[in-house]
Amino acid sequence: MNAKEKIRNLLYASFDRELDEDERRILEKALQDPELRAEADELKNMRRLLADTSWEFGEDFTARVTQRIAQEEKGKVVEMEPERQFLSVFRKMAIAGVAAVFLLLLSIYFTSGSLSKETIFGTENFSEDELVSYLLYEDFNE
Amino acid sequence: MARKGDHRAFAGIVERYKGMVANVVKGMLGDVPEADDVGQEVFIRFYHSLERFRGESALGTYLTRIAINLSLNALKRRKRTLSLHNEDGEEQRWPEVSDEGRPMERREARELVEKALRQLDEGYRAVVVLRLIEGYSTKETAEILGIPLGTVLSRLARAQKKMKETLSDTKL
Repeated sequence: MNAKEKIRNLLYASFDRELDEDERRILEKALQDPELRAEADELKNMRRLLADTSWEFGEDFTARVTQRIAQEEKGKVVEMEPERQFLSVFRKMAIAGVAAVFLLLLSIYFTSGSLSKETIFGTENFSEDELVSYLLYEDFNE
Repeated sequence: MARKGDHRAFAGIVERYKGMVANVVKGMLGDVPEADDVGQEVFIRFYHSLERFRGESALGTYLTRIAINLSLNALKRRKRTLSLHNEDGEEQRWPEVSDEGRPMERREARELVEKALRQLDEGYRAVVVLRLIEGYSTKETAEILGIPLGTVLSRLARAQKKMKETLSDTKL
């Protein structure tokens, strides 16, 4: 990069960042050259033109946005991908299941005063023989 | 704040920020019908993310980020479509402009800016739109685009040199 190009780069940089002392001094000196000064003026004008530029959306833009939102909410048919749909249903079922188990354990605890295996399975009052019969599907009330 | 369901408050936000979003989207895409659709999409995306918006960044900056991302996506789509129809892949949907080297009306000036912007690659155009048209600082521009500050500065310098060449025949 030649010296002229370096000075030009300094000129462009001077609009967007703080130059250090040395850079400022070099640029100020270089700006005595009418050609560079003209380029600096052109650059300023171009930046002003850009800063003054503005666009607008078409008529009723706001109404069209709110209308689209209202339509989406009215339909409310949320188009979900199958996996997301499955995950959503699964999550709800899992939460319901955990809540049911929790309530069941809570009611066992309050009725039996313990959460041992025997109280959970309702076998705390069974003798060993009764348990064997129970496991063999025999009706031990007979 | 217009939380979900409050359409009137949300319309107030759209009214307030639509000019800013138009500058970003039309600066990136040109003044074409597609830009209006992208603009609408910006606000609809924002509406759906209202509950996630915690106000950590200014609302304007947040909307600008959505606008720039959707515009870049639209440009990618446009490139894909163009490459199917035009082997050069050159963007041709921006309105063509003729400049005659005389003092400009507002509309003419805008068209000239569009012409100059059209010469730039998207990455450079985004920097120019945010920094020189929307007036964000170089640091904010870097944050919005997710690129280093040094990249913003070098893109700005290169973009301006290129734009100046495009505009040099015109009396600014």
